[in-house]
Amino acid sequence: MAKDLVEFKNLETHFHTSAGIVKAVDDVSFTIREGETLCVVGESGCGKSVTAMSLMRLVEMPPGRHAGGEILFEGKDLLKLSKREMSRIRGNEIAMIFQEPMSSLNPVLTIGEQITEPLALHLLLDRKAAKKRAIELITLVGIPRAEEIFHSYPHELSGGMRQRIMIAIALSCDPKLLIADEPTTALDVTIQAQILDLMRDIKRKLNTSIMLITHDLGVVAEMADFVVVMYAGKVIEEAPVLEIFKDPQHPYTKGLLKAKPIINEKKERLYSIPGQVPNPVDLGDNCHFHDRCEFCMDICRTKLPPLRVHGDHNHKTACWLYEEEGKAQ
Amino acid sequence: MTSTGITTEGWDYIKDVAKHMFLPTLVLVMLSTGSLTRYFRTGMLEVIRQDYIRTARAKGLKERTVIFKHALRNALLPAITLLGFELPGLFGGAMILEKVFVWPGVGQVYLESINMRDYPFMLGFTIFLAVLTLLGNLISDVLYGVADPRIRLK
Repeated sequence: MAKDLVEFKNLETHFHTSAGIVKAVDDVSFTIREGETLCVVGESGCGKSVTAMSLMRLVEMPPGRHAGGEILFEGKDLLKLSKREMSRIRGNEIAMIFQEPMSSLNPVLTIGEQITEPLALHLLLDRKAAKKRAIELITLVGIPRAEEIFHSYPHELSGGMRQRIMIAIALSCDPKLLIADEPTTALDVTIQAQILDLMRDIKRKLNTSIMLITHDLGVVAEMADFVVVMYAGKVIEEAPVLEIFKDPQHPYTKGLLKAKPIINEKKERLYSIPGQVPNPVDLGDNCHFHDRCEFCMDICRTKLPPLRVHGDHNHKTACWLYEEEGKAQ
Repeated sequence: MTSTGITTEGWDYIKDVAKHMFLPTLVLVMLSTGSLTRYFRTGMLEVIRQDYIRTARAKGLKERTVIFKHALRNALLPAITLLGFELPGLFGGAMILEKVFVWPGVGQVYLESINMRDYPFMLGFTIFLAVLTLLGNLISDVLYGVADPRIRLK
């Protein structure tokens, strides 16, 4: 088994708003192993991005606050590092690709300038070496005419190309972990497939771990080794990718899988999970999914289910259905 | 400015002018700083929330580089228009200032020309201000191209 690269331990990231404290990430624990692709899935606002931003320490504070827990990266707690130590890790050992390629690049700086920046900062390359490396990187992500692109500005490139540039920037210092926050959401499907292929290629070549945040189960099936399902700031199920698709345990995961269209299957309407995501301000001490769950029991309304192994040794689920207390009812 | 009867030369002369220049300059500077600062502030706050600032932080850049290299240039764009209008404003705004500080400048002369019904001078000065306005706008247009590659003509 590969070594653990990142370990989230009971991470809690809260936002203090005028409406109350929003527990965007509430007691989240999971590990990313070396060379593994871990997918974090869940609907909008369930805390996927905030988990990743906490890892990068990019959460705006205030209103954000790390209320507890730790994030171990190669044994060091990232939340305790000084700003300087953190900026040495950011972009160097952990790199991130964002959701919106159209606005993630600075419009007034050339592509070349933006790629060479981390090279000069972390690898201490001089201008010439940095340029050479940048052109290599642009070629690596599959953009022809690298020299020309090096001197152009973001507005002259298409969305797919900009996302490739973002990937090139992220890869520039050979990071150990690549965080991709819904990298394909804003792109059309052909480009999506190309970007995913590119990421898989890179992973194979450089043996980088990837933390992929997505709400597209197709992407999960294609990319992931391990899947973490989040709901309302909590991990509700985690398992290897095949397990999740073969034997989903949590009713929410089951619902998600049922809501996915299947090719060659005729259906009037796709299944959708009834109800709405709960308001994150006033989540009580209960299973946050209880009011949308068809198997809801009394205990679900009054007590938080623990995330525990049920069945296979690395398949964990937080649901009363699989606990003794739940079976008794 | 030379006070009547002043005979100093060289360094003393410079010091004398500096002493008399201090207050008028301060007023003139504060006049434009006030409004420009507010524009820069809102511009900066707007830019600092953008995605590319987050990207810059994610690259591990120092906060100083993020602000002065990535944010400032974007925040400057809307302020460039205002800088263009500052040019005629310097002369127009200086009129009252020169009167108050009894500084014998072009604004003072202009006010006197109104009193003396010196029509050619009044018209001339108005045209001068008009030219400055056009020039200021032209300069800001050119600066736009320098600062923002998106509107640069190929």
